[in-house]
Amino acid sequence: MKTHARVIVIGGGAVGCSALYHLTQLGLTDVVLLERDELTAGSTWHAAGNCPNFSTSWNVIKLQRHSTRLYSTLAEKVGYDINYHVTGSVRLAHTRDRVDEFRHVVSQAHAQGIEFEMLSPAEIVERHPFVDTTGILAGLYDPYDGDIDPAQLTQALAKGARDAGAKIYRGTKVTSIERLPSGEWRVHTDKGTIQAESVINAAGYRGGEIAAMVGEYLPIVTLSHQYLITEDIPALVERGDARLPLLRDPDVSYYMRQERQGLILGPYEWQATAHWLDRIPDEFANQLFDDDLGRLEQYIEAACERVPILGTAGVKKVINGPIPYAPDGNPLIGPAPGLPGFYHCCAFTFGIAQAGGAGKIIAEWVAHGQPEWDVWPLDSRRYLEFANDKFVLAKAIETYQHEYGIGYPAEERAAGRPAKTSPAYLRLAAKGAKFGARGGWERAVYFPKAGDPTEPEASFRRPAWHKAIERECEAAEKRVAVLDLPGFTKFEVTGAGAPAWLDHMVAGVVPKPGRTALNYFLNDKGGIVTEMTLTNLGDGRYWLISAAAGEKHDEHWLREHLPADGSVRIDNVSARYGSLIVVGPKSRELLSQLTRADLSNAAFPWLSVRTIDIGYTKAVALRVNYVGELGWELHVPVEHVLSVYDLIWAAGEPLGIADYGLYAMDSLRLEKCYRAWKGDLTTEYTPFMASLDRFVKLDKPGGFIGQAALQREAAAGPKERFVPLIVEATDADAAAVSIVYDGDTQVGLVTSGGYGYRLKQSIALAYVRTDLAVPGTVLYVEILGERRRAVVGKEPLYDPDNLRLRG
Amino acid sequence: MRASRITYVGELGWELYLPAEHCLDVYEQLLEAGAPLGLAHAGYHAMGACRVEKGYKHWSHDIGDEDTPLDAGLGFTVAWDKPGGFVGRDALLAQKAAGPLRRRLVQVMLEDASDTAPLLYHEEPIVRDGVIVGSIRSGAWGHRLGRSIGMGYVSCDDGVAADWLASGRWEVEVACRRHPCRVQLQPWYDPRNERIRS
Repeated sequence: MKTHARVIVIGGGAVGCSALYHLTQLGLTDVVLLERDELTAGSTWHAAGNCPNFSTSWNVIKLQRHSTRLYSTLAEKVGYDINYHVTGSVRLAHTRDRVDEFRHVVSQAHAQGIEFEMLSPAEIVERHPFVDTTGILAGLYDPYDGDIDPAQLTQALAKGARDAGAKIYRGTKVTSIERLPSGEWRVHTDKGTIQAESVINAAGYRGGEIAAMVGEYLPIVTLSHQYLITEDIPALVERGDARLPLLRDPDVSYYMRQERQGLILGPYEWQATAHWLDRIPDEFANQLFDDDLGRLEQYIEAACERVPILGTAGVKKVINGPIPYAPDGNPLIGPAPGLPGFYHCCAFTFGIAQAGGAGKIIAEWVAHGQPEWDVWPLDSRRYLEFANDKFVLAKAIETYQHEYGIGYPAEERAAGRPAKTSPAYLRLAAKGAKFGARGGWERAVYFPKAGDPTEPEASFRRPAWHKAIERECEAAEKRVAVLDLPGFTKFEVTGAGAPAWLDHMVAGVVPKPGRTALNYFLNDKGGIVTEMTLTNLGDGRYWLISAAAGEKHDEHWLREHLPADGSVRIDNVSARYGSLIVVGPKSRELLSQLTRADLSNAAFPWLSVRTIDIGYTKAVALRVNYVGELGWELHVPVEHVLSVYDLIWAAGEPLGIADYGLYAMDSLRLEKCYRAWKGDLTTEYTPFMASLDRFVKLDKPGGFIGQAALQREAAAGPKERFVPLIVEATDADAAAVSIVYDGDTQVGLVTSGGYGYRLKQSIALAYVRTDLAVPGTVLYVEILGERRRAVVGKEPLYDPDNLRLRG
Repeated sequence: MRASRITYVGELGWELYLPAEHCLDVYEQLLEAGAPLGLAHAGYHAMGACRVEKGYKHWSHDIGDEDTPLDAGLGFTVAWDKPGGFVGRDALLAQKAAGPLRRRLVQVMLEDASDTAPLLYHEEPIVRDGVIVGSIRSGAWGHRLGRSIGMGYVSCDDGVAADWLASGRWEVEVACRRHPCRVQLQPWYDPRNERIRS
């Protein structure tokens, strides 16, 4: 075995081999793959091998389409035959919501240049002559879907990598991993020791074992998934070489495809079954679990009714194999914080369909320090410290049960909750608040009242809770409203080097003492890594505040850029302070009753910070908010949150105070055109594309990360610009990743949308071609298959001169 | 979370240290798991009574800057020979060298086993053979013992030794009345820590 390599990949399934292959394609050929058993011995060899492009997630579509494109040329490119049938696929919709979902996904696919089609029941039968379309409203056709032989795919990737210089050591089990003082990684195996700059954990369901060797916990659990293969079916034998398209019936929850002259049927059953909760048996490889067809009975019956030829042949074989699940069923791809050079690329539930795209992403992480695409929903850092075995199990089972659930724009699923609660949680719950979990934190999303409509809870159209949001927005606009917002990510930055370091980290200006400013952290390509409120507390302390879900991501970015001389110190104080947001024209009148601090414009202007007394504590009070009204964010020690909330409520009652939730906040921020991190702002966009020019000090003397890239972009002019659109919508607003058209030409993409209750207009925030980013330009947004007139507005749409914020 | 197998009440148990934001969830799980086992809530006063039965000291009541670990029977917490030394070591060594301890914390139990026995609060005089030799620092009704109990410091110029404690006629004065009592160095409840170690 070699003793040194540039990169070591641990795990020889489809994903590990794809990672190895993609590394070689990026020119990293001094690479090694270690496989404890044989290639494919984990979850790859028994996979059904389906290769869909469909997903309700923009990122997953992108990743899977990379796979199918790669697979269609791989055999020829590397000289290794692969049985890959591009049969296309048909999905069935039984309900109107499913039709809405299909329309939305078709639009997403079109935006990526993938020709999905909606099908009428008659067109479904044209594609798949054996489907009984009774009760079916519509179908979706994915022309690039198909099935591939997982073992051949893996071998082909391995051959392509080997031919380029990679080495693969089978029967080589990793026993421990150590980090050397030089920063290199030393991997110990039962066949010897090897060192490398970088390590990729592609160990599939054993990904957690590998992570534990470097002291990290990865949220992975093993579930079993079964599919059955029938004997030959006479009707298919008669068709000869013609192959049926894949069939997916998500409202019942199964897939079905042709395998030789028989069919494969694979249900995602409600009785999801977990395995190996204590530990994974060391000797398990190339094995299956015992059949358990009882779990599938009702699905088999439903499938036989839908496709009667299924019932004309007996079952030849049942495959029941282990599949890794992260809580949301998406893989864990990305760098391990605090472990430079160590990466994860594991927990693939759909590893065959995703191996191609995943290999590209992880190879780019290693070779370039960042991937071309922003794939945050797949990033291993999305799970915060609290995610443990119990959480993973609860969430993974729920995900398995909903594997074919409808991907609504907003839905709060119940498993694994409540995990983190604010002291005011029970108070809000007693008022009937509906909650959603963000970074594990329970936050109120809305407050229903008696008499509000109750259905539908989730929809691509405006759901029942829009009545509640309207009420909450009105309180913020006309009176005063309060939001308990626990879990804001908060870092306290101190030290002699802090001002200069912060200045280098952000594109904008570090605020003066007592002031606060929104700031953008860029990568060296100018892409937006994160957005934080930077506050200068005036006593040598700086606070950085960002999204709850970004805690691990943001801390990683900050710490990996800390100067080595110890002149800057970062403390994560996220859980030590709760946040109460008080907004509305009467917010000053309210808070003045609770503090002796002067809240006047002269003493406490917009975008400033003061430490004020309130209740029995002190609050770091910021005169900023995300809704565009007069208001304050109060950050108080967590143990005081309930008492301060109660004081605010008592003082607010005579003023007509109302609670508001995240859904109302989202509506209000759309009207102000405030961007949302990882929705509107990703690494694929620069601040100039995001129309955030006013937050960039391009000629900052000390420079900043991304400055050179932005200077180049400024000279050339950005290709796209972020604009608000006023949409002539009916009962459905633009969901994220809706397409923007100029006539029949795609000219942009919506990144968030919704209804604005103060403006009484449907709003979309979108990136459009720069020449069209002019107020008054008439464009069209595709919403659930229909193009709606949309006029480019001037931001902010609401209160354009910020008079209310300054009020 | 961090679980410590320690106790301030003298029973088998754990103290769970967890992030504040997870308390509600964990608390509700404890209630659920504890319901079939007869889990009950206990408050601060119950904790106080239990700790007095176990002779556990309370900072500012039983131990303060006028009391040394040796006085308080806490000599087992002193790492005499640790390499870096510690603040106060010289004073403790001097006290040790000066002979038998002349002042020690003792556990007190009233002889009156009825439920009308007076309660001890603090500063009640402790009397040996008619002479006041100390006073109560904390007291409680010991619900597990069914007795009125307390603890306090007593002094003797010749040293507070076991035979001196065993030989006298002991009383506690409560509201100008003297009540016969017993005194000893070890706790009244589970002196061998069998419950804690179970």
